[in-house]
Amino acid sequence: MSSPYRDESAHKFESLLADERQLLVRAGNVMVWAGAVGLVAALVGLVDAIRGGLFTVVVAVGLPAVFSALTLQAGLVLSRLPGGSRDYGEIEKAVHSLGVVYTVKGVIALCVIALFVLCFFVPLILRLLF
Amino acid sequence: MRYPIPNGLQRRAADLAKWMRIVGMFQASLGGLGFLVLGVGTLTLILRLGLFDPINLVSLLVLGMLAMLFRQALLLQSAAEHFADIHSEPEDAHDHLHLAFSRLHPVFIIDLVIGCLMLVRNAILLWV
Repeated sequence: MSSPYRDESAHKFESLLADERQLLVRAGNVMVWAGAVGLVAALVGLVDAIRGGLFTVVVAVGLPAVFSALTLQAGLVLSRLPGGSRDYGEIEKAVHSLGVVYTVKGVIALCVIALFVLCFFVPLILRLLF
Repeated sequence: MRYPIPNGLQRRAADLAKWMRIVGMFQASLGGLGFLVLGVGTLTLILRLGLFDPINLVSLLVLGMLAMLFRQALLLQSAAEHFADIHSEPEDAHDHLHLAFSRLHPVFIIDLVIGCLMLVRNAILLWV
């Protein structure tokens, strides 16, 4: 039985709870599968993409392969969480890998938006002005 | 009592949230717009040609893909919101971390489905 006079400050700090760890590991396992399947799909598509030239290889194989590899890396880290306070370091590594994926995707999205604005709105404004 | 989330993880989560929001918004706009345009087109074709016409079946498949991409974009936005709130009090921060990964889980299931479809497509192209 615990003492009612125990010192509250002597409580142990808890890191991730069992259900939180389980969810992270489950998410990691799905990431591993998604990354592995994406990597295989990119490699299978390489032969066909080579016929399309360098641009097709980069867009259809290179980028998906890099995204899949980083997702696989993040998944492998999350699916093998060591437990205790060391979990945070591993989660940070996984978040960093995902961060690279979403930074590249975000930059591509911004470039597409910029191109769209340049191609559709600038001619429209120029036509209105002159 | 929970450990506070380390500063490094908070910083990286905030960075991830920023870019995840941009990707989510972009994907939701494209997916939603594509779904609406293709949905109207498919509905017109179904009324004209019938449900079991091969063109309509392919259109319905693409429509399903676009719906999945739209759902993925919404989940990304939600995960980004939780990642951005990770710098709060330790108890809340752990809840946000948990919620962020619970939103990311279906995001990667959708990625897995897309990866499988890409694999089938590339294998067919390789074979033909």
